[in-house]
Amino acid sequence: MLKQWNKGQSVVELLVSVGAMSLLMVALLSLVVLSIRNSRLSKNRVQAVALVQEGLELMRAYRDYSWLVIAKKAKDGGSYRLPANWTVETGLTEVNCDKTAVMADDSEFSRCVVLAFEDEKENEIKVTVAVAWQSGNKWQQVEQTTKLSLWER
Amino acid sequence: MGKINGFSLIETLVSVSIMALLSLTLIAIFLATIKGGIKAQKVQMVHQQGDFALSVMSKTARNSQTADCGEEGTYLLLKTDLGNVAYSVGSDESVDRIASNSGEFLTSNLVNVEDLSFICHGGDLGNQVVTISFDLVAGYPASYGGQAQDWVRQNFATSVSTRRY
Repeated sequence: MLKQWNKGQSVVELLVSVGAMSLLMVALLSLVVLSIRNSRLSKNRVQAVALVQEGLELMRAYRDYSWLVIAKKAKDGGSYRLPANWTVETGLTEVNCDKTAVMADDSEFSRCVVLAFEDEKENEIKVTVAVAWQSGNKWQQVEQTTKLSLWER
Repeated sequence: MGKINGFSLIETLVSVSIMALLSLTLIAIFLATIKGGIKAQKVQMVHQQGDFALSVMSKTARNSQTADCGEEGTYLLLKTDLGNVAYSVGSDESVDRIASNSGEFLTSNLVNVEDLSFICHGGDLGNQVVTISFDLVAGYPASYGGQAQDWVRQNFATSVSTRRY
């Protein structure tokens, strides 16, 4: 009577196979998503490190331009926006070290520099350049520090 | 009733179209890889030339006694121990290149120099801070009938101080 008793798959078999496949797919997809996110993060971090180093180099040029100006700012101990396009004259306006320090309207990076005197004699300025950007819903930050002085004098 | 042997027309059509789709995607991927390679080569070339020109100019400026940027900032005249050195844009067979007064060019004829500018600021200690900025352009943008992978535009800039001794 039951001629096709051996044909096709049962619902249970089907469910098991679909479940196994979906588990595999979820694992693969999450791997792909993770690797895409990581590569974007590392790309942004490389750009941010370049911007930080550019900022430090710019502060070095600024030291050569006017020690008086950065010494005064270091005494105030605030945080400043770095001048755009490598110019020294109109640079270093006061800004908070957060996302308001965005570098340009179309830039996802914000950059600021914190100046402070390290020693009592006020010969050495500690310069900290920080670059921050938003990645997903988290803020990422890269910062580097150097010390500037008038060592030639 | 004849026994069916071989493939029917429908089967052949279906398999041929599947193969065509597959090979189309493969060819597209292949072309994208080649275009990416050309672009990377161009970017690397532009980077190398810009870094070289920038490092030569900034090294000379660091070693100079005085710097003069001119009123428009189109040239840079540096007084060094070995005589005067001047940098500006020089046209050579309709290619704009960075030229020095010794008759040498700092960039090759494969890239065009645009927006070369020198800005001098007087420093506190009698030195000058020179801001050097220029763009290097290779190829033409797509709106000018060029190929997207051939067009590279990159800005190069730095600030250096003349020496203080």
